[in-house]
Amino acid sequence: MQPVVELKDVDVAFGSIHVLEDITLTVEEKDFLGLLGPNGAGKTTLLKVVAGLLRPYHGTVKLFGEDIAKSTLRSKIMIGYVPQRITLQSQNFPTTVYEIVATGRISRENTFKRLTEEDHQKIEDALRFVGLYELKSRMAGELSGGQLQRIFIARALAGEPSLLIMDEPTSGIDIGSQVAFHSLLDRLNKEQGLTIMMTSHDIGAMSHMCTKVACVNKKLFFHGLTEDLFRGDILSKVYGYHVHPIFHEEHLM
Amino acid sequence: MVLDILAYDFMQRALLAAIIVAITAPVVGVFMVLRRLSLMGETLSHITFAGVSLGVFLNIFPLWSALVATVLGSMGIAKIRQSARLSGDAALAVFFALGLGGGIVLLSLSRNVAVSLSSILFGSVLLVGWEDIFVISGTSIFTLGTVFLFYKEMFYVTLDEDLAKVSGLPVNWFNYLLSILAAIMIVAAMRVVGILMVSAMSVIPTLASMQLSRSFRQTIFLAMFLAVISVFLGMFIAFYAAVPPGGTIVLTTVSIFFLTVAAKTMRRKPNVKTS
Repeated sequence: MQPVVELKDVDVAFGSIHVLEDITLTVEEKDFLGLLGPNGAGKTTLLKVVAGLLRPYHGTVKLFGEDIAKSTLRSKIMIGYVPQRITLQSQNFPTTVYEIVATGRISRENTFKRLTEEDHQKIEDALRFVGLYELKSRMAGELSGGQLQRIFIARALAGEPSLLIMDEPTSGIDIGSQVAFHSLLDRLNKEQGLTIMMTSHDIGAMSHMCTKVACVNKKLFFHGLTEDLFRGDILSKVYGYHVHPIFHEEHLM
Repeated sequence: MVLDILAYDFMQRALLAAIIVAITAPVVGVFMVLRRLSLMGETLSHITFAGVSLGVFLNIFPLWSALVATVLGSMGIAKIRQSARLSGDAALAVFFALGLGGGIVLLSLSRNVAVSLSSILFGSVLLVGWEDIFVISGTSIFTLGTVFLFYKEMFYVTLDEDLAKVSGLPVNWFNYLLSILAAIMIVAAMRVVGILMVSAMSVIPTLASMQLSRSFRQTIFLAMFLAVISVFLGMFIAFYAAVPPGGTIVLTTVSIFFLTVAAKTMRRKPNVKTS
């Protein structure tokens, strides 16, 4: 089976600061890969490299076997991307929930064209999936952080992505919303077979949700099945100090 | 009495030009405000000043030279912003000074005494001729047509550049497009309110509209409506009070903005959020 993501010998630097070094990583279809690592470890950079927002100065990045540095790939393969901080530039951005989710159907291929009936159907389906269809006419600035996060997930899903990339989607969200959110991701991965890459600082939640885990701190320290994460002292090496995860029942779904 | 204003040919032309500008300017203004490029309008209007002065100096129709200078200036600003050699504000400051300095030098070197500095700075809508209306109409059709064609893409890039890039949209291309549209809009609006107040025609109706609108699309149409109302009221006040219409149009726009702020404040309810 063709891997969804293949990173080979990827190095990324901002000026003279090396953020990622020698990253070789493969994400298979239907994987739910959790990216773990301390602040500043390069997790967000890694996701941006996969999303095509940053280019490595060395190494190759392939999506579905094709080099993303080349040509029209991104217009063919839809990536659902949920960034770390959703601010809408300002809380006064005058847009509705529906208008935001509709952007998930926009690609280079439908430039000059109006959205079709099918597009509108997919937008409504995505809103129903995240349980916020009733809020479709609501102004985005009137939503809570948790609702806004789900709206941007719906936006990503409306494009029927082959790969969903999420950067700390549960940061700043209360525990109740996090549990609902984790259940949503579980359905996407297990029921719909969607390949997911996600960063988080919640090691406990990641260990229950993700099928695989990658630990990054400039370099790749571990990449494998989630159950193998707690063997040895991998986490201590990644974080640079002793880490002893404590699991909470809320995360057991 | 109200229709007295329309008895004069020059007033008919002035009102027509002002309404066309009022319909067009906020359409570009919405994207500029939401991308935090309001100051870009101010800077471009000063480059327009240099362009007009160049036209006067070379003895060619000033709107054409202004159009070329402002479009080139807008592309220069966009290029510098993208290359990040200068921060956004710094790039604007350089072009702002360049436009004003270049404009005043060219105008003083010109021997065409028929062009008054005050009409460039504060507008001369009562003097618009059919050639002006031809240029203003052409630029408006181009601007509105472009926004109509790329509406969803321009909204997407305005909402979030990174997300638009991930979807494969040529974001840099759309940034250039917005800069060019802003330049064209400013040249068209300059004749109505003058370069010192030109960005007010695009920015302030947008800000007023944002106080009341309930969607992005509604923001655009409401801003157009408020701008047209401002033009009508401003022209009538100018006609009967015998004061420059550029100033009354802008003052009316600002008054409407404050009214919308007051309306929003009065209707605001406790903001209860649910998760």
